[in-house]
Amino acid sequence: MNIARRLMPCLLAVLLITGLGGCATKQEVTHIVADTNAAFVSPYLEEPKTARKGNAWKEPVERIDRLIAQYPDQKKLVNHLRVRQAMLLTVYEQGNLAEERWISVEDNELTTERDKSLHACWRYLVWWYKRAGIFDPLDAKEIQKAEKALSNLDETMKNVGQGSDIHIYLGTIRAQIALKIANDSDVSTPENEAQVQKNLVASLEAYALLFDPQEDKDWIENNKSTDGRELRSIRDFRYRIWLREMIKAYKETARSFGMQPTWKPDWVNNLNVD
Amino acid sequence: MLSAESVGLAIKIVNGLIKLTKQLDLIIVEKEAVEEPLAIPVPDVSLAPTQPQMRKALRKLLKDTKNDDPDPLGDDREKIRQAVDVQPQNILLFDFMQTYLPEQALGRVLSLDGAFMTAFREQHPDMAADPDLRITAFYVGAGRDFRNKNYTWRIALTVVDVLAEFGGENMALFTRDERVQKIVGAILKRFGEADVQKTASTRDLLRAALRATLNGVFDAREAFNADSKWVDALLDALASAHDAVPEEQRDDFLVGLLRGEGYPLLVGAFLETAAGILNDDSAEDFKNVAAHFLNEIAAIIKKEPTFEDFLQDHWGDLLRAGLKSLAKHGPALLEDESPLLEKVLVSVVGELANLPDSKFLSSDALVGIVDAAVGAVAASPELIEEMVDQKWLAKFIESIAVTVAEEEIRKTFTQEGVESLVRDLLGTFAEHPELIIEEPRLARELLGGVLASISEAETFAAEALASAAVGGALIAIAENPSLVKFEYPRLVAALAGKIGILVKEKKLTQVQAVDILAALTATLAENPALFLDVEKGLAAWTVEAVVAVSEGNYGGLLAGLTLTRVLHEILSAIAQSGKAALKNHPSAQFAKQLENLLEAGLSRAEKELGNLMGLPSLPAVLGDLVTAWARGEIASLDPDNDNFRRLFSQLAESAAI
Repeated sequence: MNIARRLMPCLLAVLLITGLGGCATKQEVTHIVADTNAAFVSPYLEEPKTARKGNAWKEPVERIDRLIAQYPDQKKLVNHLRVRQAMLLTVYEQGNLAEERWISVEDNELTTERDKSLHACWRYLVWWYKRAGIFDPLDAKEIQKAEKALSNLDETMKNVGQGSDIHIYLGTIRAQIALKIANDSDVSTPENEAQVQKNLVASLEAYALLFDPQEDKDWIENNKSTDGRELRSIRDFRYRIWLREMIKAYKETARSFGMQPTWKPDWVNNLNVD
Repeated sequence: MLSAESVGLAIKIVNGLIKLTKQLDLIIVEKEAVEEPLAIPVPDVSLAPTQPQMRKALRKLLKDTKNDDPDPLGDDREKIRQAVDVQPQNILLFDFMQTYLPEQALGRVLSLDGAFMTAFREQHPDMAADPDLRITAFYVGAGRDFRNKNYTWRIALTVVDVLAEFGGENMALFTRDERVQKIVGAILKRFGEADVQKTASTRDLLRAALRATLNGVFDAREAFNADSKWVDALLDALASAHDAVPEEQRDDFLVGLLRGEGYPLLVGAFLETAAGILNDDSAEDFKNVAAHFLNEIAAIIKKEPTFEDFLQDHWGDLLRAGLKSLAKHGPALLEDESPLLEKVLVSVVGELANLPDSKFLSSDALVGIVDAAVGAVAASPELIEEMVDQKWLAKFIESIAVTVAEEEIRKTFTQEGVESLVRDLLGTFAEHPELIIEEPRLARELLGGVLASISEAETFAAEALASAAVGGALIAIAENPSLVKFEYPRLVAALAGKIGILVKEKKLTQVQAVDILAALTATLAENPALFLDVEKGLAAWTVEAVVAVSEGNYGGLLAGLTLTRVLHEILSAIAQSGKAALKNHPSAQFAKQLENLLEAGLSRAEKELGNLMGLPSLPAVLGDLVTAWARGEIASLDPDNDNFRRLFSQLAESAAI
């Protein structure tokens, strides 16, 4: 009967909500989900060299606005769709529009670790998606912001499942920001240089530890499965390419500083990714 | 496993939600918005040259341009020198790089997703060509749900979700019909694991179990009785098979079984047949049989992975056949420590896995095979030992599988046509198990022989002829099983082929051929010793003689159905007096002499029609004429011979009476 007692308020709440609002159709939401996902990756559906960010975000964003306007009282639905919309605007570097949507999200209405985490980091994500593509070195203020982003990401990642998609996504953003900070650092004094080297090693180690130490390492070394097995999943394939490219970028940055650090975990040292 | 209390509660929640149709839609919509993945790419990172790289490049610039006149760096030369050697500031250094070395200022770009797409296209071009798969690659799943709604609630949502797939009418049925609720409750109890919303495979299992079972329930809803223990027995057997498989494979194994086409039919059979006819006491025993059988399936799939799809599709058919046999032969099939039904089912599935051709067997054929095999074993329990030791079962299954798998046969006959013949054949075997106890290869000899022989004739009427030949032969064999000893099937097959050729050559119409085959199969059985032992050519010679005459000047008299009636009468006459005929008319001249006799008879008939006789009595008169000829009572075959004329008149007069 305990279960019954626990569930009854839930059921009553559902009944109450029913009385208050109309209802969205599954089809509308299904379309929105599909359209936003297609818009998110539309630059990558072209050849990589010709990939350009266009206006693919506009229509899905407007559709979500229309749906939300129709069902303003359905809090969970509204807030999770807002996250989807805000993230799309973030990826398309629509800073102001993205910010407006992120601010309107009520965190206590979000229920999944992915959407809660994105919401927890949104300010830094909006900044980073705009800033990442600019060559100019980070200035002092930006470095401060980037370091705050690292702390924020570290904190957020503590609350998500190890190895989950969102864990790897946030860890990747973190490794990118850390690389940019190191790359743009002043190494004119031995102390600075030592610190930059230490940061590079620590950041890459943290990134490598997001992945499966043995399987991913073997795959990266050979650029394919060594045991002749088929692709485990496209997701894993993507993450392995990320790890390989990230190691390559970190090593290249260290080389450009004239550093020869001892990387961690150990296997990174012997890895020939060039 | 969920507690009974939680199951009851989940059912109540589902009921409540379904009654509120709008709320149901909202929940499903919310679930979609919350749980669906986001396809998020990571940004490309543009990296400027590092400080040492910029200092080195600018130092070189200073050096390379120091003697240029005018100085290309102008007032900036000193500022650059300061920035490079005295107080390096990256922003300033980068500004100078952009101004004087713009190409080097571009540095490098870390494009993780760009590299991924390039590698994806190179290493997996087929998958990369599919835009949907490319999108999937970017998915970031929703992950854990922090709401901590209890498992019962989540399971209820899963039920609602599955019910929604069946549409409004069936959802409403759920709220009205307690029997459906009971069945859903039974499924939840067995497959509603506590972590159903966390583990993908467990969630899939519950969904598959609900979906497949409800499919069967809704199809059989008019007749089912969910109060019996039979559905419980089925679900228990599945749960027990699930637990017997290694943990990492068990959910996938069961999901595979539930996705098989045979499962919903099996559920329907349980609800209709088992619950209606069988005693509840047998349910527990049947559960054990089913569980052992499913364990055997798991073992075979492990050993022979190529059979996985076939077994997943058809295990339900085999078990359904077991149920049918049980209804027919009674609970005795379930008695003993190692029940007869279990032995048959396990042996059948083992043999099926050994035979590559068994993949061509349809659901109906498999049901028929089990039904017939159980029937044979029930009639002759000692056969159970021979099943395996002397490969009785292997011979029996192979004789059907090889026939339906034969390429020529599959080219000539439609799948439906062959399936229908197999169904009839196995139906007869089930009714007359004695036929296959002695001769397990009968299916091959009769059905395979007829189909192959007709297939060679390449006639458009193949299916109709095969149906007549096999159907007629089955009736005859069922009435007189000893025919099998006389190689009756082989002769039927040979005659069916001959008739097929006559149809192809347009000497017979399809309707005539079908009637003739029916007559032939029956007549051969009238005197098997004569047709099948003394002279195997007798029936064929008779057909040849009649058809030859029908093509001649008297063809007008032997048109349409008259031809088949005449042939029937003549065959009967030969059946009665064939031995005498062979004695008086040597084999080598038999057909020709019979043809001459019939020509003489028809010549007389032409003259006597309207005088002594009418057309309807022609078959009987000719039949009697053949009897007289067989007995050596006709010396001359001249139609104008006085004796012949007299005899014919007598026969015509007595036929008229």
